[in-house]
Amino acid sequence: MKIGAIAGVRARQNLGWVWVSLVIGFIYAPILVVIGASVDPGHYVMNRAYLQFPPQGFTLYWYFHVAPALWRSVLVSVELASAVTVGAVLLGVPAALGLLRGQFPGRNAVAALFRTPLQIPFIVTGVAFLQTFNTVAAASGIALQASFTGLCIAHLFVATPYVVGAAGSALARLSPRLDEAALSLGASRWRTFRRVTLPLITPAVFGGAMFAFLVSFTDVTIALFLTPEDGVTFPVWVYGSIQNDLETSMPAVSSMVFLASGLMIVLLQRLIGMETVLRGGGAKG
Amino acid sequence: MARVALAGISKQYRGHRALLPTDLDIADGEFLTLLGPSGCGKTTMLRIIAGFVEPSAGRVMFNGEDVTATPPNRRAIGMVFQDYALFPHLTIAENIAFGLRERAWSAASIRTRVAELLDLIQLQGIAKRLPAELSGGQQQRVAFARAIAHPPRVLLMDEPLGALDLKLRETMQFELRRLQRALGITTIYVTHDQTEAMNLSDRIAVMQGGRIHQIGAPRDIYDHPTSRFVAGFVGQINLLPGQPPHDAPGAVRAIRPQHLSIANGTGVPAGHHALPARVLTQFFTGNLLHIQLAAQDSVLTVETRPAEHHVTDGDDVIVHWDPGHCLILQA
Amino acid sequence: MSRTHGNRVFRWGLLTIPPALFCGGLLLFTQLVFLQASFHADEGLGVMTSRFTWANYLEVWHDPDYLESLGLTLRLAGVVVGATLIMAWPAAYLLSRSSPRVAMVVVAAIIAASFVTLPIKTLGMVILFSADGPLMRLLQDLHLISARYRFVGSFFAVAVGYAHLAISFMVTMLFSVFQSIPRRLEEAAAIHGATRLRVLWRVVLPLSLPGTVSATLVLFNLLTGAFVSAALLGGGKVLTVSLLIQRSLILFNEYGMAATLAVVLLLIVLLVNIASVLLVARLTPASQVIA
Repeated sequence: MKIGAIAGVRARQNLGWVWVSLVIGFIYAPILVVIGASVDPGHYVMNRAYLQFPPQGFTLYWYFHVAPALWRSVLVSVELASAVTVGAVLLGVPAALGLLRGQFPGRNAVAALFRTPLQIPFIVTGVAFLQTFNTVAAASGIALQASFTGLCIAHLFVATPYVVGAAGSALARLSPRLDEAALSLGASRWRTFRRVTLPLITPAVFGGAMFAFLVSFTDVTIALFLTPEDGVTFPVWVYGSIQNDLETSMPAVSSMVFLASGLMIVLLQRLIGMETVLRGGGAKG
Repeated sequence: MARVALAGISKQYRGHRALLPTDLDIADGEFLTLLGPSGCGKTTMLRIIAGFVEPSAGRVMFNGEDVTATPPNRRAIGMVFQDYALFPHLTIAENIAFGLRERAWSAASIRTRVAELLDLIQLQGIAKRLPAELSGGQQQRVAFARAIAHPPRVLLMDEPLGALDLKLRETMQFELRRLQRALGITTIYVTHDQTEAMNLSDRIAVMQGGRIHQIGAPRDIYDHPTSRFVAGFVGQINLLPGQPPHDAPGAVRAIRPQHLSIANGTGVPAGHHALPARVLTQFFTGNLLHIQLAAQDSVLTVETRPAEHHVTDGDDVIVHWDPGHCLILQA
Repeated sequence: MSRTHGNRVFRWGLLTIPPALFCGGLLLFTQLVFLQASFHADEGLGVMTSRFTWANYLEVWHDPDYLESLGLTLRLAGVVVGATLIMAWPAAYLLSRSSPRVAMVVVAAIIAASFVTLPIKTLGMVILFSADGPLMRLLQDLHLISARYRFVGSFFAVAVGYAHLAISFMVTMLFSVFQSIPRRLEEAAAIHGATRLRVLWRVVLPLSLPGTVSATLVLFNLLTGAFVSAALLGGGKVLTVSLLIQRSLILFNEYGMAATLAVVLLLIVLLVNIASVLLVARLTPASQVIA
């Protein structure tokens, strides 16, 4: 290869990496701005808080003085996401087991059923659930439309597919010989499931559960329609704040949340590997 | 330890007959091999004995007790798979102890037994490792130890050496035979490798198309094959050109390659049949020489020692044999 | 693998029943309720008439505001999808052909960013792009603009918001697609004398086409239904269909109309899905033969 050609290849590669860096930069710019704004002492103009970037100083003040309402919203979100995660696992793992190991007509249709919630735009889901809850309330007096339970149900609807997908992928990768080996050694079906199958799919289920957690934690669209009276979720709080009054401790809380999400992703990657994370925990198939 | 008997066992899948009605009796402590090409039904038969496949008809009996309706985990069997099926999340010791824990052995007796077995398979010191850290041969031995940890009535092996390379396979064959003889467990072994079958077995059941063609000791199968299929599958066979014998129409005369000779200067011995032939090609395998000849529209293979014959491709020779070595084979 | 004994096998299929009833029941019930609501006219204050009527649909069809909103939504989605494709394709390809460790870190970082809730990212954009924000000051200092421009509340702002959402998605999706194309194929083409460009054109492009088309259409659906970016960056002036739905419901309590608009949205998604399936099916055979 001529020197010129090698230089050409090198130049093209460098250009490529510049491009990738621009893309990463574009993706991370808003997040970095928020982190930057979180250490700014902040200033008020005519009693309205202004958030600014680059920071005009450095202080960790806002990290220790979070508006109580904001903290409460984070707790509500964590509580909600936890409930949704538990529910999604309780629903999703049996579903995956039944789909992967059962033999019944219409199995493909049921598998598709579990993928459907992710194909409906969240705004449609939000509207549909709100109207359904209103109808239920009118007919039976059970008020789900502005309740924690109602929002939980709606989130379960869209989060379960992730667990089904993750557990399903893991089950598909298990060799049937493992079960047979356990049986030949005297284990009952239940013992085989507990001692062999379950431990081997647990990492993947954990991954799917984390996806479910994050889906619930970060959702705005559905939560907006079904906001519980006694507790606004964190994303909805930030949403409302952007539209009305900016709260100065918001960037600080956001940074902390971002850090926590980042750690979760790293954990996810260690548990189930990059491949499965990319495929959305297996949910998008 | 158990006698195993199959009475009228058959298996029919939608549109495909995997096993024709078969009877089989296996003595206590015997090493029986089911030998045959892919799709002959040998694995199906093994899995029926294990209890993973329900027969369409017939009964499976261990020591006279009908176990056809018994689930695999209650048949007191041991099974070794081709891909070993070791539990990837458990250590070697935990793998071997798996069945013992299921049968509520005490922790102390489990420890003793595992140590005993590791000695037996000559892999002391790997108890705490995970299966992924072991080589194929080591995994296979662990799989064997796991299968016999709680002594089974019947040991079933489905092409356990298939994934190993040649040298390792040969070593493992000797190991398996030695262990089985020492333990005396009734063993049913499935393979498509006839050399393996002959090395290991007390008896071989040669299968094809869902049925047993012939069953007998390796020597018997080799010296007195009853069908062309068996003769060709166990060892090599030459079909001799010419008319079928008058007392067995539809049969052919055949002879093993090592019973053919090429006449040198001294001529053809008295009583031998002979044919003119041309040398096509030769295969040298170290201790043996295989010479392929064209004779009367047939291709014959002569097996001999390299020192005894010196021919060149294209030579015209005389091939001869003692008719006493001829086999009469049905199709 | 052979079946185990029929009378003793554990009926795994039964496990699917409770979850299927839950998800299936919710799916059916919610879709039916809102579908049904779309066929009822609103009388105001959250009350709907009890007769079945096509009035809502006719109104959407004839009212220029609704049609304009639809057009705006589709235009936004289309423009952003196009721009994102151009930005993401080379980046994803490069990542897939670089060392696994580097690729893993970068992709993990992108996924981490995509799990940050949208309002936070939008907050960052609002701070960045606000009239007194750093970008405007910078542009003014560089004499590129004469007066500070109000970014929030423009088509461009919403498009940037959408693009932000889209690019993470697209890069990770395309990364998977490119990973599934073995490098050997490109090496083989290079051995036969193809230049880098020709390798891309004749090997990589055709093989990645089904996956790219599929990802593009999923993204299009995503953007058509996107709400948060439009709400926060549109300043009340960029009215996508999703915003109209939210307003109908929350502001005007017009359940019927909100449902109708949602049905329209769903129909678009359905059509795009069908197109996707058909297109991908037509594009796949060649790639399957090679790969």
